[in-house]
Amino acid sequence: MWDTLIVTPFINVLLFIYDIFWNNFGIAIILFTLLIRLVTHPLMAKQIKGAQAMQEMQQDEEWKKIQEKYKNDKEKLAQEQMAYYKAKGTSPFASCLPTLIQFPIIIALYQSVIASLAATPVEVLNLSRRIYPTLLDVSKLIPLNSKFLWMDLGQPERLHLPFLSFGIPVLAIVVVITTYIQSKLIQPQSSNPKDQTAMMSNMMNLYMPFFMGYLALTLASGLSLYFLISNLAGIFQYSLLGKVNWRNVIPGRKQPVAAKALPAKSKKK
Amino acid sequence: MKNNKYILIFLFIALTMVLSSCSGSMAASSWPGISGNDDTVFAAYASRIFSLRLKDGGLNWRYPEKVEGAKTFFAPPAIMDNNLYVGDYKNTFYSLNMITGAKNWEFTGATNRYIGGATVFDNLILAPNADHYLYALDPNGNLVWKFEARQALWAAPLAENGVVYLSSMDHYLYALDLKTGTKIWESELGGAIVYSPSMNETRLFVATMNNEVVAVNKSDGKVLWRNQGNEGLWSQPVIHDGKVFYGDFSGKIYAVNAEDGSVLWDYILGEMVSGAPAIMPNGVVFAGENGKLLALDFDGNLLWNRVVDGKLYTGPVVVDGQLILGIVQGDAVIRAFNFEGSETWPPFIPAK
Repeated sequence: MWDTLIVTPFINVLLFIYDIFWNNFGIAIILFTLLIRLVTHPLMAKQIKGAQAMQEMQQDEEWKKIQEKYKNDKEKLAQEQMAYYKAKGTSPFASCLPTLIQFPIIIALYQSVIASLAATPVEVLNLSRRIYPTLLDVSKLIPLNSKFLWMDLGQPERLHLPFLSFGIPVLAIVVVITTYIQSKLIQPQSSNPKDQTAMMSNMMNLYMPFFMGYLALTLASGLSLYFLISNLAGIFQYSLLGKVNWRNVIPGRKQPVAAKALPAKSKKK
Repeated sequence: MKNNKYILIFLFIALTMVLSSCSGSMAASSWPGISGNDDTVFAAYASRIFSLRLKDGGLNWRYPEKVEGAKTFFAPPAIMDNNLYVGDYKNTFYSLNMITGAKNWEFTGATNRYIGGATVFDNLILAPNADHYLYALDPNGNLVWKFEARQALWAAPLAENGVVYLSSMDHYLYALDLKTGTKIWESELGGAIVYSPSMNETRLFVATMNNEVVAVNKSDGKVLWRNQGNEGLWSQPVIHDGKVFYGDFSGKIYAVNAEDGSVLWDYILGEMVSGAPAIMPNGVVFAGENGKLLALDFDGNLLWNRVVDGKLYTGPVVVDGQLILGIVQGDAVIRAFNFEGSETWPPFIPAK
């Protein structure tokens, strides 16, 4: 069901792009990733808007008063919360729902790239069965041209220079850097240094780039290319929405003192 | 904070599972490569090469004894004198002692996977690689020559009378000089060629991913006839006594006249027909993708059929009077049958 309705159409769109753009799988991955990002952009914008509304709510004096007033009456607090959402025109689902819709799309995008990078017999057999014969011609399409720049997109990437005895994993390094920059750029400034959410977010920002770098180092370079374009597209999307926080990545730029002075309890419900 | 750590660990595990499950496992990327001689069966599957006794399926040795990282083997080992020649999915080609399984040498000149088996002929080892090259090595592992095709090479070449016949994923069939690797002719056949050709005295027969079985003249590469099907082909045509046998995605088996490609008879197997059919003294055995094994006589009459657990992406291999079957995703990796369809020894399940 998942395969038939989601992944297979994705594969066909990806291969259709490959077919019309000079049979270059690298360009196909880049364009397909950008296309999916473009299609899901409204969802992303909605998610960011919803998340921001939730963040503002936590800072809102009116909401703090409501919390204080009904701290011993959970039921009444819930009712007041709903009324607050209604009055502000927001909802907790405003940020969750777009994320939930985006997540399977991103997984399907990832799976379609994997399936299309078929480099072994069983993978090619499975791929050939998933191609819509009315849209694409299997005999012309297979084998896919997996060469892109210096890379074979079906193999882990290494750049071999004549004066070095080992290959440099350029893509893995770039994936680590862009993952780190993206996560730092979109991290909201915390009002409280002891904020647990911010601490967790910091830990993720530290581990995630290395995790993605490890995947880029060991998996097919077509996937690394997808990770890289995803990161760059993410940064661009956030900056388009005005949500990029350059202070987080530029060394020496400190957060405003006023923001740090907010009380810790402002995050607690 | 402690709870957050657990959440973080959980998130990482979930992400790892999602990403790794999407990337596909090595074990399912191909099927067991099988070969053998008069007393031994050799099977390349996943992380090892196995040497099994032909009489009872008992294990002689396995290589490597200890699994080495992501190293995997699927190409059928080639045999010459007392040595085996086989490549892995990590770009290395090995010579092993056939009796002990000890490594003689390794060749690391390729840059991609060895998917197809090697062929040995006139003291030369011909090893096709997915890096587009056919490597010709001497028995000591030294490179004699290499030939570059336009795309990956997945099938073992054939050699005869100083000529190598090589099918490629690049849609071409090549004839090369055995001594030098120089191209004699090439023939564009319109679709990727996954399996090796079959040949008789004058002709080569190949199946392409353009849903065609094509007969080609061995001397100049000219196409003699084409049989266009409506269904895909994941099959190697096999020639025997003037008849060419193959099957298609829909599960239909064909016997066609080697002279002109006219259909002599057909038979419905009922599931995708995989790989090369095996020729027995009294008939032909076909494998179906979902585990069906079907034996027909040369006139298309049913001799017997069996069903095994798992997927069959290649036909059985005849090793000294037995049919050796390589299975994927089943309860066993190797099963052996006699020509009457009875299992000759217990299914082989590799120990972890």
